[in-house]
Amino acid sequence: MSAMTATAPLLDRNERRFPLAMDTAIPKMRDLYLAATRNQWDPQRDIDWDALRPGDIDDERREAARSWWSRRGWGEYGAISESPTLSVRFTQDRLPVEMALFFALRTQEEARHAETCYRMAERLGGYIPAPVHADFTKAIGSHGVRKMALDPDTSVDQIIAALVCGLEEYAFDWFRLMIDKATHPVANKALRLILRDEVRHCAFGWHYLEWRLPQMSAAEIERMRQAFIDTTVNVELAGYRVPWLAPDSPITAEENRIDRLTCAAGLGAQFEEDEKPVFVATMRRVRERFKGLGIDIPRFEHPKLGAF
Amino acid sequence: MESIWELYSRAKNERWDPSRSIDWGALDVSRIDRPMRDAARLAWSHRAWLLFGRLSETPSLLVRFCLERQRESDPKYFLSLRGSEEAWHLDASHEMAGRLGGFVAEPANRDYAARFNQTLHREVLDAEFGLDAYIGAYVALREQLEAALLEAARAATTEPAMAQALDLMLRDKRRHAQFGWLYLAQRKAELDAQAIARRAAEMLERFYASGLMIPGFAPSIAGDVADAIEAAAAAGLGFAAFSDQKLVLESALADARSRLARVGVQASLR
Repeated sequence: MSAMTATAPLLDRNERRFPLAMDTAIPKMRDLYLAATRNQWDPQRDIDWDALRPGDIDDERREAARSWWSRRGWGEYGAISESPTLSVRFTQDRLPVEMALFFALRTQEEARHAETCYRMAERLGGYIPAPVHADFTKAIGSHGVRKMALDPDTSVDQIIAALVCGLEEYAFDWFRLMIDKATHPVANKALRLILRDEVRHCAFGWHYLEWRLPQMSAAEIERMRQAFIDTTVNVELAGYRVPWLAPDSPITAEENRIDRLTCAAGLGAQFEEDEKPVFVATMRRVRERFKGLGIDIPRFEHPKLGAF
Repeated sequence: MESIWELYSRAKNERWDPSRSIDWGALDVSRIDRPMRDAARLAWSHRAWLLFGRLSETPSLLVRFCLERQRESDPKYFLSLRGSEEAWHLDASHEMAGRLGGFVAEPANRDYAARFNQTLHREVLDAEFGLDAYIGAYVALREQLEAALLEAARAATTEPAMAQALDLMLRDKRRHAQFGWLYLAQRKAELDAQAIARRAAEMLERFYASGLMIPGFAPSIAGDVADAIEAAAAAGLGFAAFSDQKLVLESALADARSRLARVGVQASLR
């Protein structure tokens, strides 16, 4: 077992609960918490699982979709521990209470997403509990938020810019594209429900930055900007979310095959050709959004995307 | 007996929303005498002071489950919901205090305020402390006692919006306690009985003898809060009187003692 305290000096700080600042400092964040509370759903009851009949699906495609939804599940399952780590950080840093309130709901949402992926995989032939290849395990574990969240040398600003304004934004448009392609009603519903939560996850990041920027020094802003760039380059463009962005290898070729088959069956996923223009457009939008906050994001390069 | 997964499923089905599930419009504070209102305001603020600790404690517990190898996945799902529910409890208590005249941001007595700094979120993540012992003392036992106290508070409450809020909180709290006992039963073969008994005694010292949960136990430093709770209880505004709190606590401790004995833990619980 890992001893968190050995690597998390942030936890060495003594608690100082009072005075308790319970007034809302970021009203838009409070609205997100209220919306999250209002829009809860239940994977078990809100998706018509009986409409997903595995016998109606060609075996090869079904098996691919089973693998794809299992892979999605691993990512979502990981988020179940990332979200609460950030909650701890928010209270440690005495940030506005609505941030921790929202993240209490966000944690629940990540659990819902993991449950949905698990149920999808189960219906498609059985959830696969772990990647077959060790290299792939490393790839899906490269996110690093849990460690960053408890590292006092990494600011909350850096984490939110990198994770929320970066990775969550990229995932958002990917989900929208998958919904357009997911013709199977059960897969479509599952993706829609997840996306409904992701809207708030993305909004959280921008609301936070808008509130926080006026209080930040130029050096803090630069560190935050760099964190966004580093995460985009080393996590997103390295294939954390989709295998086609990862360097070519037999493993990624197999994952790409799974994605294509799943997408062709209308059961989720997306593939390189269709996602490329969407990803570039997402990056353009994110760059514009940062620019509106006075932060310049450089062009990136990737072997499959060129300079963008 | 429900499994932890079934408990999680039930929690999803019993979700609520502090802003809409409580009929705030029915809370007419102008009909409450000023001294009673002020007392209730402080008492509901005290409830929020306690709940605030949960905002970091439950996330830490969830992270601990994720960090330990071979820990089950069902508790993680359950705890993801427990965190939301505690956020609603805090939000509802804060809102109640606000409507009664304004949330009180801290205890008047510094020594009493210092006792709230329990840093449980750190302990939960500290590998020196066993997870099962934490669950025994700080989940099963503590939630059982808190459920009993909430039940007593609900029984003494006549104000409709407060009764509604307490009903919703109590339903969650009973589930939280049930989770603790279910988990202990599931882990019965691996439990360190002495560690659980030790942690249970320590929990009672930290949360009960200290006056944190029941300020009446620490009149020298929390007398003002104890008096406020007493007045709020008499007016049916969301609390049980000290004498009732002591009675239900004794009864809940006796119940917890036998539940612990069933999983092989002999604890005096005084």
